[in-house]
Amino acid sequence: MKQDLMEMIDDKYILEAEPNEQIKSGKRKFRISAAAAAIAACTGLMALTAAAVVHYNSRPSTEEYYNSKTDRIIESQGLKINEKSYNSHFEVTLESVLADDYSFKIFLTARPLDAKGKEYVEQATSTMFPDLHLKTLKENGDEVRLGTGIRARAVDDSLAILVTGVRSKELKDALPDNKMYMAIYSEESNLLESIVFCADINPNLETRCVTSKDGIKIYASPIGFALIGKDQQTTEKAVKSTFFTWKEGGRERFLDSIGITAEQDKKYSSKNRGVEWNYLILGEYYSKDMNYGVGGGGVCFYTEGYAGDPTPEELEKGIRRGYGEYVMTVDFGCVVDINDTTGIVYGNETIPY
Amino acid sequence: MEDERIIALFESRSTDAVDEASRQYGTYCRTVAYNILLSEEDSEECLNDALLRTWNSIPPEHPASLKAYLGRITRNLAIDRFRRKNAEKRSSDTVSLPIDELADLVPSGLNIESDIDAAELKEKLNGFIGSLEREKRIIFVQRYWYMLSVEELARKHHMSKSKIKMQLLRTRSLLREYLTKEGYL
Repeated sequence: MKQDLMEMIDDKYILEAEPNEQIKSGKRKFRISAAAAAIAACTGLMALTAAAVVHYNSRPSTEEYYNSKTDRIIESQGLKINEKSYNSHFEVTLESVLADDYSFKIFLTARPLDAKGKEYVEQATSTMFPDLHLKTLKENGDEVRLGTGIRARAVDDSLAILVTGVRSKELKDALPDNKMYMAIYSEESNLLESIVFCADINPNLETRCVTSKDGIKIYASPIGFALIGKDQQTTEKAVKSTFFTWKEGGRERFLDSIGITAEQDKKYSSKNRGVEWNYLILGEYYSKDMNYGVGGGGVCFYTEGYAGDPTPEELEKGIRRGYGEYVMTVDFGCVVDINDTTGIVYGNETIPY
Repeated sequence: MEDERIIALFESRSTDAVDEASRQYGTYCRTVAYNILLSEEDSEECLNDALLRTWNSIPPEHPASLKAYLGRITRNLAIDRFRRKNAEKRSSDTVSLPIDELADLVPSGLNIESDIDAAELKEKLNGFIGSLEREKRIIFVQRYWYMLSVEELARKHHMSKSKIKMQLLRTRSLLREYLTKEGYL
């Protein structure tokens, strides 16, 4: 086995010598013009012609990332949108937007309309992470980086897509009316090209916002909660000392929504405090067949906008770029009735709503 | 998105980490792999494997630069794939990589990945690379880490191919002298 001397070189020399021209795999790149975005905005989302209608048995992405019970709750609360946009290969359905005062989730399903689309989905089933990306756009079609995330999963004959994001300062500045235009694209193929749709991310979930005595802001809503920390250490400490207080029976209803038994609950609640418990029971829930579902949350450092890659010198000194904040997030993995919760305990402080 | 944030996503076991890492550094990693494999399909597979390997290694790993970390993993996977494919061909015409030009500079009997002595060699090597003039250093790293062809280097640095070759030869000779002086060769 030949040995590679260059394995030993420092990161700073690797980053310094990065070639500027990069290979972007795929023959065609996604392009969107201002006109395309404007057309989508004006026409809304066109109805399929009768000839193109195909019936699918695939589950909506809300059910895929949550479960059937939560899907029914979303529907019963009038949160299903079911707007469609399409080209000749795919029909993309905007299933639902769940948005609170801090974050939002956008559920989409892409269903193939022809053999090429079908082949793409079939290929995507063989990979854990289908090659799908998201471009977020202003109304005039200009691309804007908002720090949104996208995940996709090929299921049966379609792609279940989840877009997540937070209401950063950058987002508020770029989208004052909370209308986010989006285009899903693949670097491998142009089959999703020209599908643009608009999601209204105005808050549609009841959100409770409380502030602790030491100024920590906490947002709680039916989909989860977020604690805006002061620094990494304080925020990480909050994992063990922050939890909800529930109305009688509320906690049981929540656990029932994600299929956690009393025995499983006891196993974790006896040893784990705070949201650590949430993370563990969600792990238990997702380990069944959910393939991580909507996610669990965690402690993250969010910057306002893209701060750029650090220079080798900054890297060496561990200097962070850009203004940012530490946030601890918790997903419920389902949609709870926020009125089942009565307040939040943070550290030694009980903060009622 | 800043490295620390993506690493925090890996550490919190959020699959957003993989999406974000791919979005942020997917193109970079594909380029690293493509320079070695010259195949888009193989490069894409390398990227997927690298993301999976990263998912499995963070935590406990906490790299200072996620970009360099992903790049290293992708590069190693691409080299392995290249060697495997080349071996499968069973051809008498062996195809080599630029790093093979450095093969005789690896001290015999030293395991780069595990030997304690390797840490000292690493320090010396980085000292040597750091002492090179910036452009020479970049050309050296682009040739032997990024595996760019001499033609590409000539185009990028506005030099003739022969000048690039000559410069690389001189740098290799200097490295050989240096390692010999330090007692490695």
